[in-house]
Amino acid sequence: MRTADDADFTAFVAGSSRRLLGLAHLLTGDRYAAEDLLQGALERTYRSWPRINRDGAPESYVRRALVNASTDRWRRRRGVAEVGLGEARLAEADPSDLTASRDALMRAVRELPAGQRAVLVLRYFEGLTEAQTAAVMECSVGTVKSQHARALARLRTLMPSGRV
Amino acid sequence: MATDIEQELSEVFDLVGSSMPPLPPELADQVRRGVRTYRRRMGAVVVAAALVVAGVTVVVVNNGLGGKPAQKISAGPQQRFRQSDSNVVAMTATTSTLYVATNAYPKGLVTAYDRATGGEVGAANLPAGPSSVAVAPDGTVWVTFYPSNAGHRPGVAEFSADLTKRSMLLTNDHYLPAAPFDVLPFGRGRAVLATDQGTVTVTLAQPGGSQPVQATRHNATVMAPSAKNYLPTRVAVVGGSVATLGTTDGGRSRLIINAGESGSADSLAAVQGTEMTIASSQEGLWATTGTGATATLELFDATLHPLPTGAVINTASLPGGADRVWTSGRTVWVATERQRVKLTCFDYASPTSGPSATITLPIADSVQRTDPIATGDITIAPTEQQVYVASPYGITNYPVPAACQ
Repeated sequence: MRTADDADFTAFVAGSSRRLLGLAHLLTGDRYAAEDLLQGALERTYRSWPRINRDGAPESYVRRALVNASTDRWRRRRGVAEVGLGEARLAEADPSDLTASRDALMRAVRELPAGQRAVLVLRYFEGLTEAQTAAVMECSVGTVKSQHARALARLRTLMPSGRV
Repeated sequence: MATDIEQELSEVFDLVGSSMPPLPPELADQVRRGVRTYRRRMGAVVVAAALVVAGVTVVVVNNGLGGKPAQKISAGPQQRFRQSDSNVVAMTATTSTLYVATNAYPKGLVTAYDRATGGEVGAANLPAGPSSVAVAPDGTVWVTFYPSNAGHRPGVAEFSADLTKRSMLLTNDHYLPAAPFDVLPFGRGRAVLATDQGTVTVTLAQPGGSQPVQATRHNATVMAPSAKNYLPTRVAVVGGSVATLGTTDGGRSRLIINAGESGSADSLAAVQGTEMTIASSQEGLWATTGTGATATLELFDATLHPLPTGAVINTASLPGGADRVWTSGRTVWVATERQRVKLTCFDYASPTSGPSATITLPIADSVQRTDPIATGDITIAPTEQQVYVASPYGITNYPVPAACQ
């Protein structure tokens, strides 16, 4: 790989990895799984970096890799509960400003199937349109619409009564 | 128009997503290393496939010409295990699997290799660099890890034997107050940890399970108050009790025995030494104490009374002094260092020991490096038939000499 490409990759990682980590965290619901996911996605990106960089949308590529990897992860781990016990304990005492209701909302989001969760994260965290979300998820806009509607309906049933 | 839930989703996602800590600046380099490892593995697969094809061709040609099959090597290292750029910190082996814990800054990695083929059969990331790895009687794999510069907390993880499921406990004020250095797992999710604030007994959920964690701190009684500068660094079992080895920054060591499996009661006995290492066996607790040519190997019972060890344990049979000790069944392995690092093994059945045999390390690797290594550079995982040695040259396994079996 050319030195200029390498420098571009370093700059890309430095500039976007924090936000991409946030995306991965929301997709997986687990900080450490998110880091693994992000590193894997960046490695896949780096393998074809000159081409991806030339196309001019490396972040879109990594975003798609993260969504695909999180869906694969969810399929592999379906029915297997993995608990980062220490982390779970810390979350209870987390001094952040998450209110109880927001905490409940995040827990409900984690209950969603990977596809529905990805639609919500791409729409409300990444701010993508339905068409852009469909492009990242490599599905039709109709599928995004239906996943979106089902996800919101499911959230309403998962949230405590009187909420949302 | 956005509904309330959509508005709240935006806010919550923004809050959670933007609360991520900054990633280490070395992330890009880490990604490059990962890709290089991936390419090497892929290259190895291609080369292996090519060799298989070539081998089949040679066999076919040889058979056709009536030639003799290639001679098998029966001595020396048999197999090398591929490792990435990372450093091996600890290893342990079962009858079928070799588990290797490596430091891959800022994270750690535990990898399972098939002992028969040398092939990787599983791997799992750790939040930070590992400090120890051990296998419980029920086959679960336990790994302790240090805090990392990237802000990851230390903790302990319990994996299923294939490393696909895990249960993890990170340091927190409730259960695990400090970084663990070593783990002594008993099975069913229970283990004693040596931490820098004393020993801690923990009960973790089965890997992949969701039962709540239980843990008990024993940080006041593990070392006598007068010995508070000794940080517990190793835990081992002897005669149904837990032995804890504490070490000061200056290298002084103190070995104590605590009553009961949990190691929670007051210490029953103690011995002092310098840069000690310990290893459990059915006969007692082996310990090296001292450094250099005067370093000795001793065997203690559960009250830390020395036991007879036989004629083999002397400076003549262990030239360079006994620096470090490991055990596998009745076989005792000692690392010595005088000019070259050597591994000496012998079979011990109370009260005598059998003849010893020695392996000189390292046998040069594929690029014929000859840099000297020290006993501190190696870690080993002995088994009945093979001893696995990790050094800066990689991981190599050697057949256990007949004298030691």
